Amino acid sequence: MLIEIEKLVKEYDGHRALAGVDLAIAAGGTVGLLGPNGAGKTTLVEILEGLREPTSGRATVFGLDPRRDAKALRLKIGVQLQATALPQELRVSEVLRLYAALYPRTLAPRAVLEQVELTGKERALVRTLSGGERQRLALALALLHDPELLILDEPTAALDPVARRGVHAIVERLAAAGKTVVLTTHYIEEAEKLCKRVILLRQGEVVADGSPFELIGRAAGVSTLWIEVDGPFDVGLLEAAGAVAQGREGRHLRFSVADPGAVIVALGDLLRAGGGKLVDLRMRRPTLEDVYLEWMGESAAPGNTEETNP
Amino acid sequence: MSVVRSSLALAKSYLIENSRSRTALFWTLAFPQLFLFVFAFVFAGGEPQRVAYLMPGLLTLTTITSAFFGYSMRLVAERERGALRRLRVTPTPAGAVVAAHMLHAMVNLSVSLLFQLSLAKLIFRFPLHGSLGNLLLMLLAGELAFVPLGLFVGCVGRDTRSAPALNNLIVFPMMFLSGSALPFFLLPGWVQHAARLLPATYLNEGLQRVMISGQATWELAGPIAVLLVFGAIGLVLNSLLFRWESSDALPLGRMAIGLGLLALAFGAVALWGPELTMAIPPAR
Repeated sequence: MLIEIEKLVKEYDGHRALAGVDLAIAAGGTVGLLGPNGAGKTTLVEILEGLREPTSGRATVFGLDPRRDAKALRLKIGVQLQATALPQELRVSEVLRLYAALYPRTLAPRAVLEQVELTGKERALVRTLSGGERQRLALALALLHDPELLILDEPTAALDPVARRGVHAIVERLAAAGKTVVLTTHYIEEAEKLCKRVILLRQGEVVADGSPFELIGRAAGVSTLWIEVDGPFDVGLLEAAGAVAQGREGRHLRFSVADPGAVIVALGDLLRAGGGKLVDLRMRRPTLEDVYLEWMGESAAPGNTEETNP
Repeated sequence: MSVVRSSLALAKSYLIENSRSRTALFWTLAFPQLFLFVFAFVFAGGEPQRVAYLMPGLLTLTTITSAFFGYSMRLVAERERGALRRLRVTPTPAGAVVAAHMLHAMVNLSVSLLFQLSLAKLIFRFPLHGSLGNLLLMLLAGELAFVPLGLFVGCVGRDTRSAPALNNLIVFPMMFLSGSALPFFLLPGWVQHAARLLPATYLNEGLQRVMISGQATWELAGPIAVLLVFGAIGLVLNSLLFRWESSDALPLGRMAIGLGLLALAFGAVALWGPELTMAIPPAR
């Protein structure tokens, strides 16, 4: 395992930021740490980066202790901090040259700039860069020594959608090139889009862990069916198949269902038996956002679907 | 090797940043000249002999105020804005960061002192009784003492709001007791005894020996030795107390060791420090 975490606890002045986290992360692909502010995401990655000492428990990265073996570890990991303080009065090329001097071996700065799509900005002063360009420069610094593992702490925070998409493309390319990327985010769609594995954190604890597909599959009874039938229609047969009636929306009947397949088969049987003519059938599968809200204690009831109503 | 490479690269980047910042250039080059003109016109009436008498104190003031108020605060500000944190996730050792700040401070301070000296010579044509080589040697000794001592505040200062208080606590006694802001002969005897403990007194003394008395290199050995001892103590303090982040706890045990060493240095200077021969100002 690339990263191993056992019973990790971190307390600040009596506040428990991490409450006994156990995790193992294998090499390859992008792993997302998802959670609201204060969930412990940054604390967790800062322990992995060696910036913070855990109160108890153990974390290793490449089998190295992030504090004791900090120097060896920092050659193997590339870090983008939540807020990267870049030297404002230096040019992009000067910043890259500076950071290149801090490592024994690095990639050619030009190649790194190409990777983060900053070619042509070599002569620009850092203070003249846009927010998205600064984030990409911060990412370039993390990539400069060609690390095997990248730890990105909210790499798209405060970026506009276009800039965010640019960072997403870079992360996707890195994962495709065989790098392991651990990123923290509170953008659910970002985790769903980029991560092969999502770890949900709440109040310092891992509350769910799996691929977005698995997590969505695990969410209980949150598929929604909207059915419009012309003619008599006995909802009792659908309810017998596990559908829970949620009332009407216009001409549609709305159901929440745990097993949409069984309900659709029952609907077919009902219609064949002369229970009316099907005018419209729509289904909304649960999303990672539903899973997130369910685990974070918010209401993820199937009724909260205004934005997807037919 | 990597420490040297890292510190040189960092120092170079600090110097480039400095050269592009109008604010930094003002404080490095222009501001010290304000003191030059105040001292030379107000206290010396522009007379070359009297300007010569004031120059050692002025150069001492420039050295200590730049080291403490200027370069130490840069380290605190870098820590506060998270620049040190970014370096911390690279293999850069703490020593390279401190060395880079020292190097940057010494280059800037040298430029500042030489500019002040040249300007004073050009405008006021004060006589230099000793050799230029000895003067530069003495200035270098001052830099080697005060740059590390100033960075001590940079290492322990939590943020840019609290660090100036610590700077004031250290700098003001040195300014007023070392004979640099006030003539030494005006100080009461017991204050002069107390001033014997301060490194700034020896920079002022050494500069007076060169600039006013024209003494030879070997006669500067005493003040230079004292300055180098304090510089070494500053280096030890920095290596013991450097903090990457404001939230890192100050290691109190190490702090106690550092302060113990400082107390030993004060004791050694009190016992074996060179005699002071501070000059009397020329009559008008």
